[in-house]
Amino acid sequence: MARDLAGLTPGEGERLRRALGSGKGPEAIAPFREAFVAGARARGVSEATASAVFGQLEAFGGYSFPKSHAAAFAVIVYQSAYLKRYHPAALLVGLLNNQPMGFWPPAVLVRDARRHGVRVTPLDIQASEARCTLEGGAVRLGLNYVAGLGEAGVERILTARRARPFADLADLCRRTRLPKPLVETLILAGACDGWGVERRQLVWQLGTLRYEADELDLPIPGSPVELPPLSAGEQQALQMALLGVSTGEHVLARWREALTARGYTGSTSLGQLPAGQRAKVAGTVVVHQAPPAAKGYHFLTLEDEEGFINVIIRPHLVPLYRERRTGRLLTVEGIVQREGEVVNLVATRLTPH
Amino acid sequence: MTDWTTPYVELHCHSAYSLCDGASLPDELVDRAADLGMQALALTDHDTLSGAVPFVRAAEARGIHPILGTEVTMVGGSHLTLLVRDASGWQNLCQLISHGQARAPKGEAALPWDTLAEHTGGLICLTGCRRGPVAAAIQRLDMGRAERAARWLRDRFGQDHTVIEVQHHLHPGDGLLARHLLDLAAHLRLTAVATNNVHYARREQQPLHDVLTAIRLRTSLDAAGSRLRANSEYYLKSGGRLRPLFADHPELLTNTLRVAEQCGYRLAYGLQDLPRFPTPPGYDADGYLARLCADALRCRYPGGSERACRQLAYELRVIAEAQLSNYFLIVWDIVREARSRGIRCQGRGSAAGSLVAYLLDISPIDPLAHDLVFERFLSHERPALPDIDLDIAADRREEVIQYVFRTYGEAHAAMACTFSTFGKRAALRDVARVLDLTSEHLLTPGDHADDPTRALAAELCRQLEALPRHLGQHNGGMLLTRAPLATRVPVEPAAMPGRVVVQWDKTMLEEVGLVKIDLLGLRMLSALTEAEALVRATADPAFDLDRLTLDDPQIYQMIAAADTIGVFQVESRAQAQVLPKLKPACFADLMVAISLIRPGPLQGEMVHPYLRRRMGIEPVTYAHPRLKRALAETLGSSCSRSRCSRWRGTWRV
Repeated sequence: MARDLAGLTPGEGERLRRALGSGKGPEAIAPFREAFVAGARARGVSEATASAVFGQLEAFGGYSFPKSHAAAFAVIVYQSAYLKRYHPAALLVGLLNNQPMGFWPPAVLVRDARRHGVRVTPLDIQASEARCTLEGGAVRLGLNYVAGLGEAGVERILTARRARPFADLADLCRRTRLPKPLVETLILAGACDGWGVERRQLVWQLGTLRYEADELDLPIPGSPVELPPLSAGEQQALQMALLGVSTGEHVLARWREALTARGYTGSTSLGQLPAGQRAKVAGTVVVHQAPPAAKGYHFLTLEDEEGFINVIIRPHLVPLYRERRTGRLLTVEGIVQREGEVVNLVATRLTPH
Repeated sequence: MTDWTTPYVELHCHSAYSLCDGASLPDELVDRAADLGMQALALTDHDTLSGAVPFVRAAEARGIHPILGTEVTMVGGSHLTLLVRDASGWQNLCQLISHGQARAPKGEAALPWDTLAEHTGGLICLTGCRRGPVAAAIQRLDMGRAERAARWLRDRFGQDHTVIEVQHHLHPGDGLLARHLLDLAAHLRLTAVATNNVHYARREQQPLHDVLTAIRLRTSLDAAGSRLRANSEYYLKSGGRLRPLFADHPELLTNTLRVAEQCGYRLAYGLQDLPRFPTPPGYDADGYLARLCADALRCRYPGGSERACRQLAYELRVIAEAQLSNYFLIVWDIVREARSRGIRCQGRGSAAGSLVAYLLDISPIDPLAHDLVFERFLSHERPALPDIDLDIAADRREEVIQYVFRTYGEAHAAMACTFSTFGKRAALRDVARVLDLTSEHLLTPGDHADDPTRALAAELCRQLEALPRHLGQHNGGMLLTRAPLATRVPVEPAAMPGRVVVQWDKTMLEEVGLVKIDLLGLRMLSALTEAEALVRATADPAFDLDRLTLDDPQIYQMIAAADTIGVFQVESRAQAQVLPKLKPACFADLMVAISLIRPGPLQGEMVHPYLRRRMGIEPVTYAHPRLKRALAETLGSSCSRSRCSRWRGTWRV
């Protein structure tokens, strides 16, 4: 291009390419601009055209991604896409066990896999392995999702379990001697549901257990307490907060009827709406982006139980929307924008809940 | 007030690579030295040569002679200034730095005196600042000890290469110290020179130097007290500035030129620095590479392919001419080893354009089938080194690194370093702490003009931002050398036990022509490995990700529908938005998709033209007819760098 348009010699072209790719900034490139534009003018190209072409070179030089890099990566794209298409559960396990990676957090990966028919089963003190695994075709969350457990903690659980399953909470504590806060995490995350005892009840029991030197003295409280069970929503919120993933349905599934009654559109139906249509949606924030190139526009990705909703926030609305925490529940009113099959909602009003 | 009449060369000068001490980057110092009319300048950072590459580059650009050196810290804490005369001096200095760094906690050095004695060849020893062994003894009025120290150095470095260093910073006692040093020089018939122990290019930078000192001492300016330098005389001075300080001994200034003249060493490396790959008997590197490729060619193209044979012969010739066969063999060996351990691993980068890389299993892609350009990787006219970067399953990358260390020996392998700069955030935090302000105070928007403290703090932050703060281990960049590494480049211990890092980052290594092999960790490769194993265990024992034919229409339909969460590289929001417009339908489209959705093309407003053209909404036009040849494949938008290569391909007449 440098030769065809501006008559640069190969050596000059190479230096230009290096300067463009070096990331050293405008000072390093400026001398080339003059030579490029002058050379192009000498070959009968207008200054405006030459400057525009150079501008493109500059923009892509800063961040460009050579096609041959793309070639090697494209193989990985294909391989991962192949797994997603034909072996989504196996891919999910691979992804979950190698976090952090990629663009989406584990919670989104799990829900997306669920929408593709993958069964994801919760953490279970009797069944979960050190890492996430496939268990009869379903993905079983692994102990690696329990923050603070560490390799040593995992090993203690697995070793003790190999001898025999944990009979009850006292047995778990006695044989693993895990610190109480970790056991509490396991209980609240639902890993101990297998004993059929409600989680609050288990936490109460845990409080009454005493870790003694060698022989554990494990008195059962004299007067059993009746505690109200955790609601399904509370259970799911706890699982999400403690593990960073949740194996249940998206929180909005439970509210869909009420939302529909109030005129809210789900992500699937939103995709069918014509451009220019006003719509109201609800979702949890999964990504919030404000790329420098977007000139003050912000982009939100919301998730509901069916999929994703892309929201565009115009610059004048940005100051009104300060809450950007992921996981936040948000309702958005806006106007549907369509470009081919890509649908965005241009927000006119955002309300955090 | 530039004085051109008193010739002088600064032989003792610290840059910002004396971390948290020097306040100017090497090029600022070089610029200032050139403006002052100096013909040469020495860089003598504390126990490091990290600044050497940018320093040499800047000096060559300004046409002054760069003298490489170091102020080494000895066991016991005294300082000596060493300057490189020739290649042997460079080797010795590199080894001295490595020894000194190896014997002290990170960020410090302690060089044993007997080690110094073993590596004096090719070096000039200046007796150092006030903390030099000679000056320190004189300050304690122990003249006998001062003379013994000077004699010790003279006996090791030689009469001609031991130089008494005299400094005058207008401190009380500086004059007296200088007189004693001069007496000693006369007594031992040693040359004496003036130096200024420069810590910043201009006097105005003294506040920044104070801030850096306080940061280094982890204290505030107030608490640092007398540990800060007492005045602002440590800037780069002209001969004219220094002359009045040494009025009775003008030879102290002119002698600096004589010392500079002895330091003719030029930093240079070549490709021959790589270790020699152990080829089987009867083969040299070129021959063995050709043999491996020929064998692989028969497997990859069972029916034979005249085009492939031609391309192979061409590439092998270019590689042999560039003396890179050995390099290819080394990379091939690493890939082979990784694969044999079941570690996923593949070449990244322009190597994908090379048939040789494909035949050696370095690259997963047949460049002939996918029309990739070899010249992007290596060509006759490019003296530059090609890069072969390897992506390796992240969880097992360390194994591969260990293998390389074992194969070529710990003395021949090191990781490149990285420098983290202060950056906006740390600069703000540190300046606030040093000035006893809260960072909120500095952050509050408003006009700084009416608040001198804030104005000063803001200015200090601005100056601090770009300075290097820490030296760390690069995430995978590995340097291999044939000669023991410590004789070729300066190295120091990394935080990881047993691991050393080169004191140069990857750009610096590249600039001096040292081959680095990047072993990058890629978590997706680990995820693929795990998923593949699960598929084999549960569904299809013969499943092999590397044998996929890359042409399943269902895969492309899924990608085109942006159903890509969890898929490598095309899962993000931006990509999902573009995919339905792009509708990749084959592998070539996929390559375009990946090069397209990057910040660069987006900023250059090229993505949307390409998409509209592809969807047929907009006619295909070229900014100028001359560009048609280069851009036809991307419909007139210049979205991938191999366009650039094709443009370059057409440069060749």
